[in-house]
Amino acid sequence: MQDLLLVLLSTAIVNNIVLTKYLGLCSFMGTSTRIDTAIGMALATTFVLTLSNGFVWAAETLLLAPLDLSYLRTMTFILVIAAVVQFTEMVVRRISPPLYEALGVYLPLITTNCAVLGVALMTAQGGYGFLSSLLRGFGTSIGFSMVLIIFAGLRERLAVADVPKIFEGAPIGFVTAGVLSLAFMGFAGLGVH
Amino acid sequence: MNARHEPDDALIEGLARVVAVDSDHVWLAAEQPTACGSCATRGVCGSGTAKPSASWRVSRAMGSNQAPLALGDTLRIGVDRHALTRASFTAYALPLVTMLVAACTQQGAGDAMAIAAALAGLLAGAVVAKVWVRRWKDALVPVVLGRAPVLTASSCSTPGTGVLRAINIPVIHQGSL
Repeated sequence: MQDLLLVLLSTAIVNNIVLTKYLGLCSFMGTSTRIDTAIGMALATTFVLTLSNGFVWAAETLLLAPLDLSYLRTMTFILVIAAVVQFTEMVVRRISPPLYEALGVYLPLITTNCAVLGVALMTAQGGYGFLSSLLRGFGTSIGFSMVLIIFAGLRERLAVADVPKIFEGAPIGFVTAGVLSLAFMGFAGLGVH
Repeated sequence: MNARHEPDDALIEGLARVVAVDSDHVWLAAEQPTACGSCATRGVCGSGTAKPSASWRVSRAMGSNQAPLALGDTLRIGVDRHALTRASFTAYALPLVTMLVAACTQQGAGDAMAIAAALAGLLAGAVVAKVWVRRWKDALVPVVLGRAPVLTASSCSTPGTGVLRAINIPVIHQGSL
C-alpha cells in the first residue's frame, strides 16, 4: 500500500506532468481562465487519462509485446485514446443527457491533449503492472487537475490586476506558469519513484 | 415543459447555435469548447462547431425591439454553476473511484482479477452515478441569456469574468430533432 501511495505522490507532485514535463500546455493555458471551466476540464481529463492508461496497458501487454509490434506503439495508443474518449462520451451521455448537453464535456479537447499520450507512452516504456499503470494515470491526472485549478485561481486574480499592457493575457500567464514550475521543481529532491 | 430557471450571476456561460427553425420555435445546439480559450470566433476559424443534433427548443421571440431568432444565430446560454460542477464531479469521479478501489482490493490476485474487478467497479460506479445525477436534472437545463456578439477572426479574445445579465426566455422543451 505504501508503494501505491508513493506512486500517487510521485506522479502528482514530484513528476507533475504540466510543470516538470511540460506536457498538456495547450489545454492548460486554454481552459485555465476560469475556475469552473478548469474543474470541468480537470474532471474529464482525470477520467480519460486513468481509463486510457488501463486500456493502453492491456494493448501493450496483450497485443504489442507478444507480437513484437512495439514500433506501432504510438499509433496504437492514439487509437486507444480516441476510443476511450468516445467511450467516455457515451458513458456521460448515458449517465446524464442534460449534463452531456450542458457541459460539452471537453472531450474533443482531451483527444488532442498530448499529456494523455505522453503518460501512456511513459507508462508503457516503464513496464509496470496493471494496477500501477492505473494509479500512475490517476496520479498524473490529479497533478494536472491540481495545477490547472491553482492556475485558474491565479489567472482570475491576474484578470483584474494592474498588469502592463504588453503582458496582458497569455504572456503573464506563461510568466506565472514559469514561477509555478520553479516551485514544483523543488519537489524533485524528494526522489520517490 | 422544463422548470423555469431564474438566471443569476452563478451561471456558467456558453454558446449555442440555432440549427433548426419551425413556426414559433427554434432548436439550439451547444457549441463544442475549443482549445484556444473557447473564444467566440469559432465560426470563422473553424476550430469549434455546433454538435449535429439539436439539444433544446426555445421560443423564436427575443422580446420587444429585437428581431426573432433565425437559422445560424449564435446565443449565449447559462447553466447553474453549482449544479454543473456537482453533477460532473459525480459523473466522472464516482465511477473512477469505485474502479480504483475495486482494482486495489484484488491487487494480490493477479492482473486478470484486477482488470475484472476494475471493470466491475467502473460499471457499478456508473450505475450509482446515473441515479445520483438525476437530482440535478432540472438545474442543468440552460437559460438563454441573449444573442452572442458577432465577432470577426481578428477580434479573438478569451471569455471575460463579468457578471451576466439575463433576459428571461425560458427553455420550454428538451429533446432531439
